[in-house]
Order: sequence, then structure tokens, then C-alpha cells
Amino acid sequence: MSNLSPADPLDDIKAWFVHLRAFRSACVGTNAMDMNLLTFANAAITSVLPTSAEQNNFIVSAVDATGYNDMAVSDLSTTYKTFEALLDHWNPLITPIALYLWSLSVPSLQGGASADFWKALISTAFPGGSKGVAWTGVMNGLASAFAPECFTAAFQTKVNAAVDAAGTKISDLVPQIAGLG
Amino acid sequence: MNLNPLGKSFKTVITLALIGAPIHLAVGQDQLVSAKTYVQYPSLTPVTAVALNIGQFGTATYSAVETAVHDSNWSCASPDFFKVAVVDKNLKITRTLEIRAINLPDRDKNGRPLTQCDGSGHPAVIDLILGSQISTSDQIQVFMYVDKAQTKQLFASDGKLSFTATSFPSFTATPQAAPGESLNNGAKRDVGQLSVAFADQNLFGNSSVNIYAKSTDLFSTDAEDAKSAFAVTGGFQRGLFSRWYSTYHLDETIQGNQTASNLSAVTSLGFNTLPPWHWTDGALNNAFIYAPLPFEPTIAAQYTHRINQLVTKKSPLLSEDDFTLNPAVSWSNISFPFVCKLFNHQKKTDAAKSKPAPGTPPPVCLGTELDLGLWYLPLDLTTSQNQRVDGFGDISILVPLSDFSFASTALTYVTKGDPAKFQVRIKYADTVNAANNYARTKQWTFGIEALK
Repeated sequence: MSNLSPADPLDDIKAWFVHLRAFRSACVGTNAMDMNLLTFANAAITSVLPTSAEQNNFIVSAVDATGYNDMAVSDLSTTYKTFEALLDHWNPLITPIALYLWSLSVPSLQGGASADFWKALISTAFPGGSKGVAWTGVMNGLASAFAPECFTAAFQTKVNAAVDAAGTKISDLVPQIAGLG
Repeated sequence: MNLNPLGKSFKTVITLALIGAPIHLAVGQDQLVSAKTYVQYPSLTPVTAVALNIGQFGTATYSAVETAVHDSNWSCASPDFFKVAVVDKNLKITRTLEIRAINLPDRDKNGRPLTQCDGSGHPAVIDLILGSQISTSDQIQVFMYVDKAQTKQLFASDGKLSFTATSFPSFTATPQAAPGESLNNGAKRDVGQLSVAFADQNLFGNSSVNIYAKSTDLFSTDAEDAKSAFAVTGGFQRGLFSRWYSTYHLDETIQGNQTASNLSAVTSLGFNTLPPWHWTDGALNNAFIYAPLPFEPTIAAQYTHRINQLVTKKSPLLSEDDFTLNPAVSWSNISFPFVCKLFNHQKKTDAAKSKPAPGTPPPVCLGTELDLGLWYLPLDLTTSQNQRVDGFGDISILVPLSDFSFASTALTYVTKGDPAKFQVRIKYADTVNAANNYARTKQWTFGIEALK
């Protein structure tokens, strides 16, 4: 994340889960501390932090841990429904996933613009489908970076099915992976 | 496996950098710029900003920054490369707004605040902190440029952004006619009134303490108008601990009627926080009791000095000086999971079907809420010449209507619809009314209320 030296996308994915855990820890004294990470990511913010005092306390702790210093109570009470959506505002998981896929895609796409990669078909970017060497490498890398409870076997099966589906674009697949499961 | 591929793709990206034409991709612009007001902690100073979302791969702003970062003269932390303007419906600029500062709400790997964009999603948001007055009716367009001269545009929003609230000073003056208004001498007559309200939530922009001022006034064409009033408040507030939400405020209000025949000075001091709570997990998160949230303590102190008093039939003479200290605690979201096991109702059946995920709150079959506090009035002596202390409190017993689902055939009215969204509240309150000379009332109330 240092200036002009972009981070390793896998490190950024790992950092995203570090921040999600920091959000969970910032739910000071609530039952969120006992939730597994996937349950917490999808939990309704207002059910975990129902009062204004709880939300303010969360903001102080979360800002201290992450540096997202423009967080407002309205972000928690109105704008974002889940903790995953809240974190994605400051740290969209889509981005390091897309950068990681881009880095392992066919050379012709790696040399192009990000917008072109975003619009590309999975079958173009990763010939061979879910059984191909390139995509197998992608899944291994993602498995090493994701929190295990957010990268379940069922989720992997679903993602692989999307990879094999005709007509799936990178812009369809990446949000699906970033949706956790 | 290539874990750091960007060095490879950079070479190509650099050749594409700094294309002068604006980039427009088919992504909803409402997601790329947003109006934002937030409070900085611990200074508690409010900020009005336009948030530019640049971190999401595939968007126009991401592509713009991805290319611009390779120009050593470009900086996303400099206001020179941005413009925020009020535009009309034809996107013609009617006023350019001052960008007072730029906030990059993210940190680098070493935990230091970011001072530059990296072009691969960090920071994902740029806050353009505004220094110019704007109104809620203004339509705002945001521009990002390659150069400081702002000749080559990288991005332009759709000009449909607006604020619903801002932290800038507000002033309203509303004239009104008031027929048959009551006067202090008991008579009635038609009068004209001017309602005035002023508020500046942040008198000094870069202060480490939030200093504010506000005034709410009603001036009348008749000096005897019983409703004439003014109240001018100035004060400051700040967080006490930087890593724990704990705010205090001190303010002074001068209030009275427009002739100052009724005039008093009120000094207020307040503090509120939340106690650490996770340590209670074993004691307050079990099969008997479930209380995941801490109680909320507050302390408010108020000193009133009455300079002039207008004594009428309706407003008796009050003591020249009053001091009140009002500590209070409020504790909600307490339930008793064991109650669900005592009764064979729907929730128990549902719970048996599948094991809930860890951390899932237990079903609420019986809940309670508490409020406790006291008024300490050291200048107000009782008949036995003791300082006056009045305690107060209330307790509510909460029973969800879903508890009655077993009797749905007999109680169709109360259990129809979604009974989980309604609850019965049985409340006993022993309260004192500070506005009515601390008169004490005790009452039971029963009701059915909707849950959010």
C-alpha cells in the first residue's frame, strides 16, 4: 500500500480479513465477538449495534484499528446494512481479487487496460475452465488468503460452476467471489 | 505462482497514463461520489465532505487514478487536482466550492496515514473537505484533473449530488402573525412575531475541540407577549479518551424574554460513555440471562442563576440560584433465555430444528429494561433542612407477542400478522418531573408496541 508500489493482491485480501476481524473486535462487548467471521460479515449492523452509543463506540475502536477516520453513525445505521458492505466502502474486496485474477490471466489481458480485463470472458482469461492449471492456481491462492470460514467447499463449488458457465465475465465472477461463502 | 504481477503490467499502464480525455465507464455515478458529514473523534468537530470512491476495480474513477498515479506531478492528496462546483440542470457551473483539505482515510502497511494514492485501490475513498457554504438544494458536480491548471479532465461526475445535511452555519428568520396571543398581564391581542434560529456547529475549523454556538429566539411586536423568548448558547465538547467513546461538553446559555424582565444564565456540563462489557460474557451471557449490551451511564450538571424574574399567576417566584446534578443509567436488551424452555411455544420448536450459528442471539421470550437515576439539588433544602435528593427509575417487562402464538386461535387479534414484530410492555415508573418542581409520580402502564 505504499505510494506507487502496489501491494501484493493476496496480501491485500489477507488485510481485508484482518480489518473484518478488527470490525468484529470493535463491537465491544456484544455477541458479535462470538460470531464466526462469515456470520459476522453478513450480520445486520443495527442488530449487533442497536444503540447510538454502541455505534459511536464501534466507530472509535474501528477507526483506531483501520484508519477509516471518516466513518459516521449514519454509515452504520442507514447507509450500509452489513459489516461486509461497510468494510467494502473503504476497502472493496473486489479490487484485490480482480488484481489477483488479472495477474494470473492470459498474457494478452495482463498487458491491457484494467477496464478491458473487467469486461473479458472467463473463458478468455482462463482457458481450460475450473479444471485448468491457471484457475486451479487462482483457487489455491484465494484459499491461502481468505479466512477459512469464508471460503467453504460449497462456496468453491459454486465459484467453479460460475467459471465453467458459458458467457461469464470477470465482472460477474469477481463480485461473486467477493460475496464470501 | 506470480504473486506480484503488477510490475509486469505497470509497463503497459505507464504508456497509457495521462490520457487527457475524461474516462466514462458504464458504472452508476451515484456510487462514485457521495455527500458526507461526519464527526472527527476525539475533537468532535463536524466535517462536510464529498467522498470520491476511487478504489473499486472496473469503475471510471479507479481507471482514472490507476493511470494518473504514474505522473510524478499528480497527487490525490492535493486539492489542486479537484474541483467541486454547484451546477444547474444543464451542468453549467454557477459557483465553485472551496476544497479546504483532502482526507485519505486509510493507512499504509506500517500503520501510518496514507499521503498518496497507489493506483490499486488504496485509499478507496478520497474525502474532499468543503470550506464553502452549501445548501441542501444545491446540485453538485465533482471533477478530477490531470494538471493543476485543471485543463485536462480525468473524471467528471453526473452533477446530481446533493446534501441532505451539512455542518455549515445555518440561519433562519420566519415572520408570522399570531392572532389572540396571550400577554404577561393576562390580556390577549393580535401580534406579529419573528422566529429566528442560528447555529454554527463548528466555530473554528481546525480546532482540537469542537466549539459551537446557537441561538433560538422569538421576538414579538408586543413586549408583553408571553411567548417572546431568546436563548443564546455557546460551548465546547470533546472526547475524553482517544480510543474509547467518552464525550463531555460544557456550555453556557443566556435565556429570557425579549425585554429581559425574565433573564437567567444556565451552565451545563455533561459526560457520557459506555463501560467495557466483554468481561461480563460469562456472567451475563448464559442460559439464564442474556445482556449483550452495557448500560449507558450519563452525568449532567446544571447551574442556573436567575438574574431577573417575571412573576405572574402562572410562573411563581423561583430561587435565585439552582444547581442540579443528574447521574443516570439506562440498560436495555436484557432477556432471560431459560423462559423459552419453560413454555412449549413456537420458538422452542423452531430452535430445535437447527442449531443456531455461533453468536446468534437466543430467542427473546421475556425481556426487561431499566432506567435509574437521581436529581441532587444541593441548594434546595427540604422541610427538615436537608439537601434535596430525588431518586427515580423505571422497569419494563417485555413479552413478545410470539409467546402467545400457542393461543392464536383464541387470540387472533393480538397474534395476527408477524407477532415477532410486536411486544407487550408492562412498565412501572417512579419519576420526578424536573420541569414541574420535581413533582413525583408513580404509575403502571401497559401497552403493545411495534419493534423496529
